[in-house]
Amino acid sequence: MSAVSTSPAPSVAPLLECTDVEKRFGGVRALAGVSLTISHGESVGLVGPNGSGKSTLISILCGAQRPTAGAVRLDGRRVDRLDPHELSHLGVARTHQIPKPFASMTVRDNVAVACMFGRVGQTLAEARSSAEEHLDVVGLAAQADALPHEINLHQRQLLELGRALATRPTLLLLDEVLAGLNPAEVDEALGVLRSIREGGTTILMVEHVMRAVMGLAERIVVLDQGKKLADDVPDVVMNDPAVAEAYLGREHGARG
Amino acid sequence: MRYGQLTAILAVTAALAFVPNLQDATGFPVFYLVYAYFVFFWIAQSTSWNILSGYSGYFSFGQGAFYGLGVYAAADLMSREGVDYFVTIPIAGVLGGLLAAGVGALAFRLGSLRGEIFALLTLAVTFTLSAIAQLSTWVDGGQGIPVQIPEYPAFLGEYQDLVYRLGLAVAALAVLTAFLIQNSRLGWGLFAIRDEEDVAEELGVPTFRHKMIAITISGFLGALSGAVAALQVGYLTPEGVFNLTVPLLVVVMAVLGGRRHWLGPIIGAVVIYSLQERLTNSGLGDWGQVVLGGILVFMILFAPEGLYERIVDRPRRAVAAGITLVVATAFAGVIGWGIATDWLSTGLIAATLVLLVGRPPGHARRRPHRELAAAGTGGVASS
Repeated sequence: MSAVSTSPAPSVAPLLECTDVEKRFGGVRALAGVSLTISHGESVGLVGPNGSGKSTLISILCGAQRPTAGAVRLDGRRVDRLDPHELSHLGVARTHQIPKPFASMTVRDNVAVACMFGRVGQTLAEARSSAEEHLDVVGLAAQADALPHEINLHQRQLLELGRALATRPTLLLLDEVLAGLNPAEVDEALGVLRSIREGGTTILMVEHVMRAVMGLAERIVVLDQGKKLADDVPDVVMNDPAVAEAYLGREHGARG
Repeated sequence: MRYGQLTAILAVTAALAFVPNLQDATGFPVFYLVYAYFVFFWIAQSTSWNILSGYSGYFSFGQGAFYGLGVYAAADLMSREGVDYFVTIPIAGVLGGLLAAGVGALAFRLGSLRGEIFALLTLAVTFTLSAIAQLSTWVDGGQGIPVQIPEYPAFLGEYQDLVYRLGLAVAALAVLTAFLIQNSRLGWGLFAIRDEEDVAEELGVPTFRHKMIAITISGFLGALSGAVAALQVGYLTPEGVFNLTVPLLVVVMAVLGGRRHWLGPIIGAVVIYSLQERLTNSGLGDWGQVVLGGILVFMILFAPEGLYERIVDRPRRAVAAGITLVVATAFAGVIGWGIATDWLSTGLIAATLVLLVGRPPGHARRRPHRELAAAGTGGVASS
């Protein structure tokens, strides 16, 4: 149901277009000119070893950080100088690797805040009832009245996801939503993600659980040392020797 | 919208506005009106503080700046410029709002000015205003300013009735504002900022704008209340106006009462003012302040979430506290201990103790209070 409002928007411009995006922190180049295009309705996996710039890219896309150089366009519009709340109103939402719920609010109200301030901007009364629907989607309806610290990590990650969905995003940025989950929980979360994708929401997911990336993404972008190393369908990328070297040559499936 | 609460606020305000009329019939001492005025004053100040600091979590020690600006604006404009007193009140409010907006524009632009740094910045604003008052001969110049009794229309009644009703009006305005904010998008945005500001921003809350609105309203109400307080002060000095009493007591009142609900600062203001008055009249002299400090430390250690949370989370205990309040007040009255305000203080202290005993509501339900750490009650920010 979260997908009801996600219009397919048959515009000419791709949904997201990054051109030579660069980010320097002092002398360190976290991103060294990354260009990336994502079309409406695509789901793309973003992978790469620790420190390759994945999280920096996500932060730039949601407006939390500004690129040192380069441009980010959303539906053809330049957005890399906008504040995060403006990007949220334009339909960009993200989740955090470590869930950051509003600690004093119930699970329902956590989601209601996103309903009120996100892309659609519902009234207080509407927000609480739509919050229930979003909680249904991520399977947290039974925990609606709990406080965030009363639910487990897996549920807090689902809350993180539900809250992002409640902003009615057109572009959903997932920063390791599956990290730390057991195999059964990963399956459950994957089911949720698939239904989100089928609803038409465009997804860019940073993920170390390769099974999840392979199962969900139509395309995989590999970052290494702030540069784009590969960008293709999963099978091609996984058989790319450069990718194998970046991943397996330097570290063995470590998480970051 | 909670119309029941709104009606209750308006009804209580109307009933309290009528109290001075009862004086002719019952002949109760004027002292009680003065006492009530101070309760209104503290309700207005702590509510003003809470709209910014309680709702958004940005602990401010700048309440004294808003209050002092209001006092001096009213007194200077009236005494030195001959402006009609009733005109000085809104001017003072607007000046307070402008000062607050200036502080906010500076502090909220820089994401690093959170927690302790924000608290220190607001404290510095208070000291800066104090220094300006000392140095500027237009404001004060270190000589002090006598505040004469302004002329006012006869239908407003006795002078103390006027001060009482003005105090009530400002307190009611502050409480009404706090209530409306709490039940609006602005309030929800501020609560989200208090819990996780960066996430709030990413979920679409225009955090800068929300904080600016909150601090401007807070400054407006604080200065408005200060303008009324000018009538009660009589003779102004920079040290008397810009001391730490207001900025510290409003924090304590709101924290003790509860920062997450508009009723919290009211509870805190009533309990702490009556306690403070009781100690002042106890014959302990300055030791009364030491006792007050000790009691406040005790209360904040045992009820950091505030009395309001305790009342809501434990209805049966709240009923017991209510009964204790009535019984203890009546008992103090029957044995004739002091005057009526002393009876009330006795009842309030007893009721507060009933609320404080036992485990906190929803044991360990809340995160450690980062803001409290920032306020210097121990430790450093937890994150």
